Amino acid sequence: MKIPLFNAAPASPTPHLYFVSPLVDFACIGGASILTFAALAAVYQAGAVQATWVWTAAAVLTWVCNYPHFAATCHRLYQSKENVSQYPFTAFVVPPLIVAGMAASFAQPNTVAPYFVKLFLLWSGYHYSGQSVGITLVYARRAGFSLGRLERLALSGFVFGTYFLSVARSETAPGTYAYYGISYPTFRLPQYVAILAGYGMWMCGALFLLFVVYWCASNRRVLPPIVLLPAAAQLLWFVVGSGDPNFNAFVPFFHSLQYMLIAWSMHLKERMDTRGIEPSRRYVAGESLRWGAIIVCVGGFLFWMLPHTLASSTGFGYQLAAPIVLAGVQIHHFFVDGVIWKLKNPRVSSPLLMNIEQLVRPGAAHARRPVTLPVETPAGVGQPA
Amino acid sequence: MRKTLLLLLAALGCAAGAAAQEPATQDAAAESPRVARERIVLRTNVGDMVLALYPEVAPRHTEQLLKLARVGAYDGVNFFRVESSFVAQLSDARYKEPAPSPEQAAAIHPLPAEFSGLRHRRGTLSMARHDGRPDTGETSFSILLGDAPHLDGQYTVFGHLENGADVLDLIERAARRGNRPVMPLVVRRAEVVESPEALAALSLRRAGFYDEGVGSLGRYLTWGALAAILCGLLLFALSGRRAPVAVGSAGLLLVLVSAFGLFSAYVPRAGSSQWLGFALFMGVPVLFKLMNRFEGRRVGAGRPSTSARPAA
Repeated sequence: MKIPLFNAAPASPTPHLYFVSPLVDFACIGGASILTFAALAAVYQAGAVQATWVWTAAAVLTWVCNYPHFAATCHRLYQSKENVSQYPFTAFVVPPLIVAGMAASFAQPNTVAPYFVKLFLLWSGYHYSGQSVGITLVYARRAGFSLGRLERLALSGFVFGTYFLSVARSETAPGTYAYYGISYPTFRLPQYVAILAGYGMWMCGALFLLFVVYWCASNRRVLPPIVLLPAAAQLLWFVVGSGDPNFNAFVPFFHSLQYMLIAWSMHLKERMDTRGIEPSRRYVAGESLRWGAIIVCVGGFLFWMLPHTLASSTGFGYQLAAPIVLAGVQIHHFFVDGVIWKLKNPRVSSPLLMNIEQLVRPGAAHARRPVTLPVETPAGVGQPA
Repeated sequence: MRKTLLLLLAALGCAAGAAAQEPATQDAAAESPRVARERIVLRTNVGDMVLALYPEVAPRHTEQLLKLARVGAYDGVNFFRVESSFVAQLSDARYKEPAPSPEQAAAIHPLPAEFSGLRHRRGTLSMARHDGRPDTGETSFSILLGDAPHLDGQYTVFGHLENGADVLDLIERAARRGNRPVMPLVVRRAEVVESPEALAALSLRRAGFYDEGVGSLGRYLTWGALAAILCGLLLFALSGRRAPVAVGSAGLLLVLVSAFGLFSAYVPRAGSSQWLGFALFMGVPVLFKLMNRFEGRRVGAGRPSTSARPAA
């Protein structure tokens, strides 16, 4: 998820720091992953045992959160003609192109499919990193922590450094990896690439921490820890916890959880603003249920029904059909995700800086009115370097 | 069926007999028999494998295999049967397409069994034969994908996979319908290398899917893809200011498709040069970064706005 922000200092008043509450935001943004890692490491000595219940739990959470998170992007783009008309290429040209890639993969399962799947898997980590940077920027803005060019570079260097280090580590191994029934070869990188990636990551991390310390000293206040939480979670997912298969089973869920918190908040706020709905608990509960039902159903269609139907109708089998379909759907997600956070609606107050209070308590929106996003948010601003 | 070369059925039928041949009785030396100076290199479309042969354990099989490889009898055969943790079996050279030459056909003849106490383990080369007829091995053989004690003493072990475990791993994991690989896993060429020194000088390809059909066109396709990427980048650079934003989006899609073509062509060869691997490693995030800009520029956007606008 790439969240557009703007460079200018925000006008007062200061927005809320949290979308919902400290506890919920901490849990969703990365706290739950840290606690899970600690618990799994304590019980299973960091992956010494591959626990069956872990995989069962991860599969359930995939249905509840991971599949719907992909569906949420599709829903956000395709739910209105206005949205679609802003990004016609993403809405109408990219899907046939991806379907062509999937068809080529089915036609050439040994010469196209491995690289289609490999491209998706590499893109996936990059996508996680982009989201971590974006969410850090949102909370930094909410906390009043102004990020200049250098600070952003250091932050991006660290977060994307975890991605580079993770990829470099896996791509130095000779041989092949498998995703379902499709094997794909590695880049066979020399070992020093992983070492260099590690140095780069830690240097950028140290530089960013220096900026944080400088900011704290000059502002005479402590930076709220949640600003640093997405980067810390990213480090855990890609570097510290990457060797633990039990923990790795949950990482897609944690990424989706981050996403869902923001996507859910934005959906409720946008709908409320555009339809002139009065804030109420009933609205939040009812709309959350409706939205949740839609994205769970769409997620089930995209990730369960589609691969199974293709597997049975083409005769290729699930082990071949599933990775191709999943790769195609998720590459589409990466494209859509690249534009939906740039959707502009002049009637909508900035949902990225909202708080749940504004949705449930009449008058709360006016009591602490959030800063708004520019109507013409330029591409690339606020996105990871 | 013309000829059944089913290892599994025969093995099941003889399971009791196999159990009687207790491996513990083997001479320890027999577990690491002397290997011939010559090696057979199987150049497949998924990488290269080096086979070491046992001239003392299975002299006739060794002689036959070397002869068949020298005359090119194995060129064009394929792994027609792959069973996870069991065997990857090469097809019979007699029935390959195109058909064997007269010289190759003349070299093929049935081999008497040369059973030994050697165990069937992952990487073992085991000659296939007709069910219940020990002396019918000819050209088809299996590379074991796992331990198979029920085959010990029932099939001739004549060598082992010396190099190319990653290729065997890839063969085991390649997409299949039942036990038959979806795409042919073909031995393009089987070469006899006369000595370990000559083998050391040989360039072996690691596991990967090699589209050898591209052949000499590969270089032109590479330049074509690079040119398409440059065109796409140019279109993208011009969009928003001198061209509609749709042109930039089309340009980025051109970049993506061309880059994917290069990606799928060069990842299998990444092991041949550390710089190629490094270029792929660095190029992929650049591609993703570019795709972040997809439909990002709007007509008339001009310089990025840096001011917040109050809500309507």
